[in-house]
Amino acid sequence: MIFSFYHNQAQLFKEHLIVSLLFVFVYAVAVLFIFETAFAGNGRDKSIVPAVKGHPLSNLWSGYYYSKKDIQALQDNLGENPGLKYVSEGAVLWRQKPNKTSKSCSKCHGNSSISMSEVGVRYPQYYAPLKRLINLEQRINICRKSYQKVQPFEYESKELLSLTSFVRAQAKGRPVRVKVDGFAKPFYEKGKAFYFKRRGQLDMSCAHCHENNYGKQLRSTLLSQGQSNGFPAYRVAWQKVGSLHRRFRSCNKLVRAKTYAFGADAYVNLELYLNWRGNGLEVETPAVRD
Amino acid sequence: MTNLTTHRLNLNARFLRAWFFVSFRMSAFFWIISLLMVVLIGVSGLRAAEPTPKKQQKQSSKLVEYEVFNLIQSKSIQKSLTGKAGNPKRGEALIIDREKGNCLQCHVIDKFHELAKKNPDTYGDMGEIGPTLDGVATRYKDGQLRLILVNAKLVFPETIMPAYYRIDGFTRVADEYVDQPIMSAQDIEDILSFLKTLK
Ligand code: HEC
Ligand code: HEC
Repeated sequence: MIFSFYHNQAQLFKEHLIVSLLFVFVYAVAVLFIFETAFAGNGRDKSIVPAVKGHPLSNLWSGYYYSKKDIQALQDNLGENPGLKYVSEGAVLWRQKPNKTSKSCSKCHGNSSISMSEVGVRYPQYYAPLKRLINLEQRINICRKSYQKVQPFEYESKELLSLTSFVRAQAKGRPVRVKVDGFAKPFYEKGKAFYFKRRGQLDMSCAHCHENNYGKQLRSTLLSQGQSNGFPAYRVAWQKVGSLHRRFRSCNKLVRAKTYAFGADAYVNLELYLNWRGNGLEVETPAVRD
Repeated sequence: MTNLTTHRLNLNARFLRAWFFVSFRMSAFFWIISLLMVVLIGVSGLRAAEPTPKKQQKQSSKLVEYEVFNLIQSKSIQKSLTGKAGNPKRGEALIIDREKGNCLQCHVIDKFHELAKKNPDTYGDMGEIGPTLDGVATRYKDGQLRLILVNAKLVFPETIMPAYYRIDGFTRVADEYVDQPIMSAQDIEDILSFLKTLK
């Protein structure tokens, strides 16, 4: 009996074929399954940047892709993007002397599209004289204090938002590339810890919404990866441009947590970590969001 | 009759033979993958069988006392927090209410799809973060549902779902919510009585 199947070559061939096909089928299902799980989570069809090894996300998606079509159009249309008003006001401030005796930004930095082309992609950055991490807003205020010898702008003031938008917009289209090694490392680690810490009465971390559930509907809002590449950004809900720290405060309030002050160290560290999560995404300033 | 059985046996034997034949010749690769899969499935099974951490909530004097029963894998709060049954009508309203339960932020309840056509502001826009709540009363006993509402983290440790009846163990709660549970004991019982209708 055992050897009987050698007797009939045709039959053997048929069995062989059927069983092989069965295996092929099983493999195909397995491979499909593996792909499906590896890329689950982003239900969109257009990937932006495949993430580097060791990154918590497999693909990076700008918040742009989670916005409704009319919001995207508002961002893309140069005539209508409400954030551009801030950029052009920033351009005026860039060339203006804050008072008779001090220099304008352009006096020291020259052509902004050259001197500022990389600034927007690499901040926050370690600042040796103060031995701490500073973001773009704080860098601008340091220039005001030490070189222009005038009062720093208030965080979230129209002027600071305009100048920050203007400076970061010079890097528009360039990939974000913050450094998180060397002196920046401890700040990065703190930002990372912040990101994964549950907080507020609702007891959620940033990761609960933006890492585990992006692409899903949170009641009427589609959750994005919470990327920072579009900031300062115009939000329809605010009816104006706001800083990244304002967005942090909104998200903190969503989970009924105590917010931090604008420019607080905790937020600057978080900003560094968040920008690192978006390393490779194009700067979109001024983005438009719902 | 006998004919049929032998025929069956024959088929099976043929199949087995062919299977060994083909798989031995075709692929060492296949065996490695199979072995790997068996190991993977085993490991994930073991993982799933691990008991949930025994971290229990510190009970506060400001909340009604409750006792968590821990029966192997199934935890529950057996007794009603108010000592009475809840009101399902009120429970339904709380589930929808964006300031209170707001369960629809994450969960879908099927029959609301129909109602949303007429009344989108109330029933519409259900979220997709948690599992659907339909049939939840058949999946869980009352006591288990009560515990999931009171503190879902005791059942699903990593969950995004808030603990609705808890006031401590939080970080940086905004001042206006300090020392308050998201919902009252009455709210929990009312929601529970509505969930029990979702068979
Ligand atoms: C309760 C859920 C929730 C939590 C928790 C949460 N967010 Fe958000 N976040 C949102 C929603 C909703 C939006 C607006 C829609 C979107 O872009 O996802 C948003 C938007 C953002 C954006 C703007 C993205 C863009 O492209 O415009 C950033 C940045 C962000 N969140 C960062 C954070 C950080 C950092 C934390 C933790 C401190 C956090 N979020 C916690 C819900 C949340
Ligand atoms: C922020 C999101 C969120 C909110 C709000 C929320 N849930 Fe959940 N819920 C979840 C998730 C996610 C799960 C799945 C458990 C897990 O994390 O694995 C869950 C699980 C459950 C389960 C168990 C269902 C099952 O089939 O296993 C019940 C019952 C439940 N939730 C009821 C409620 C009720 C009632 C409310 C409102 C009072 C509510 N949830 C609010 C996210 C949420």
